[in-house]
Amino acid sequence: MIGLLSREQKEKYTEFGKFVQSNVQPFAWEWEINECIPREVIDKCAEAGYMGGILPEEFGGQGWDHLTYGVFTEVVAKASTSLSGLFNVHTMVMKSILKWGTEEQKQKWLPSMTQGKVLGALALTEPEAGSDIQGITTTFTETEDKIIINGTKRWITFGGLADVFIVFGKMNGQDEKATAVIVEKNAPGLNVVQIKNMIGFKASALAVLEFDNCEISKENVLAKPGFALSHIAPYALDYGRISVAFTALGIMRGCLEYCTSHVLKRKTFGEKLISHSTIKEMITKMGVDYEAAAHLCIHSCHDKENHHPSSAEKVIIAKYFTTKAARKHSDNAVQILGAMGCNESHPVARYYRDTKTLEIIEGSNQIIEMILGNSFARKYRSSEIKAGLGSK
Amino acid sequence: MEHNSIAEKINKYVLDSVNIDRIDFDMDIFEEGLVSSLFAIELMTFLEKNFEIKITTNDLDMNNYKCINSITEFVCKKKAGDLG
Repeated sequence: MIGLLSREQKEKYTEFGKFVQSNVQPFAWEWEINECIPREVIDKCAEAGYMGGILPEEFGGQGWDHLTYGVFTEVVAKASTSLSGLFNVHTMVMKSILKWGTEEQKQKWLPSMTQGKVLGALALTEPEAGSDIQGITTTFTETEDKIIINGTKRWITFGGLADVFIVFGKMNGQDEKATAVIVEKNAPGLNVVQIKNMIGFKASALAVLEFDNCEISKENVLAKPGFALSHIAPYALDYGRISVAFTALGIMRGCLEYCTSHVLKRKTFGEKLISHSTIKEMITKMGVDYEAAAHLCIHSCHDKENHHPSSAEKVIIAKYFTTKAARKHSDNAVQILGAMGCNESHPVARYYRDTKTLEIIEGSNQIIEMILGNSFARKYRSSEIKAGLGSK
Repeated sequence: MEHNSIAEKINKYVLDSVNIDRIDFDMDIFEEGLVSSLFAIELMTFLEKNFEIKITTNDLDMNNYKCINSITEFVCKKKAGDLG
């Protein structure tokens, strides 16, 4: 992974590693137990300039390229998947406002978000609509100068901590008028209820958002009614999937580091664990998948950086491969570490739980198979026809 | 770039993206269900990169994107600066 980075990106990798070692790694377990990330660590991230890393400098960001954002996510996720989730949802909201917001919306929200004074979360999922986003039923009703929101959002990552949400619904209940609006947490009629006892990402402050005649100004509409599910959500989720892919990469990196340290020290039957062929096989597959996943993640970021039309698909491929590999190898990491890996105090136990969640969020891997299956079928058929090998 | 070459470039991109061998330039590619959920974003990225335009909220109008002819008209107007 490191060998594939530019000099500047390598320097950032080192910087991020030092920050995480001091401010994240020693406390990550405690956050998981308490199911909460303390405000102080978010303030430290803000002081370091990390809350708006990928945003342009004119809004207080650092102007990172996509790969630097990915590398940052990898380094953070190795220590705390929950904290990487905060940067994920916060970034999705900032990038959506940057792309689709009015000048007033950008000026109102982005500087305070890059400074970490305001935290954002994306409210798309509902009790009856997850990966099938067309099925959302939250309604926005227009009055003369306001929009009235009714409905429920569930499993909203960092919903319990966020100050502002991008909420998706349907204007006047019309399917063809899917709309996104910006809602502040103290909007009248909004009730936030934190969800506890998640299997993974335990410190991610998941929440239910209950909208009961919640009132917002019409100025809070993001872009135009009718484009929330075709443009705004996919645009945001593209960034979400970059984050999830690199989070899985960070977990694989962690698995490799903890497992290799262990197998080079621990002895069974008078020999180090690495001497056993079954262990060698697990480490080999872990290392090969990490290298392959890193290439996919980096390639997708390069395509995104170069504004390549297929970059969204490349990101999906990276997310799919990396999360599946991380799931498999976190399982093997627990196996290699034995009882130690079965204890919650060891990071691989957390990896084992978190990787199940990674296969579900930002489009479950089954939804991704529906997209990629069709896409690959089209591509290969097309190539065959072009080569004059197949029937039409 | 001329109108016809813009239309041809868009036609080639759309054909590469959908599961058919040729397309009527007036066929509604979204209504016909030819494209995946990623297509709107991929098309936006394709237009921005290949025709050096920036698509903003003001350009969100399905009439701009429904068929190859309307996309071509949109790109021509955008390049001419008629749409800001």
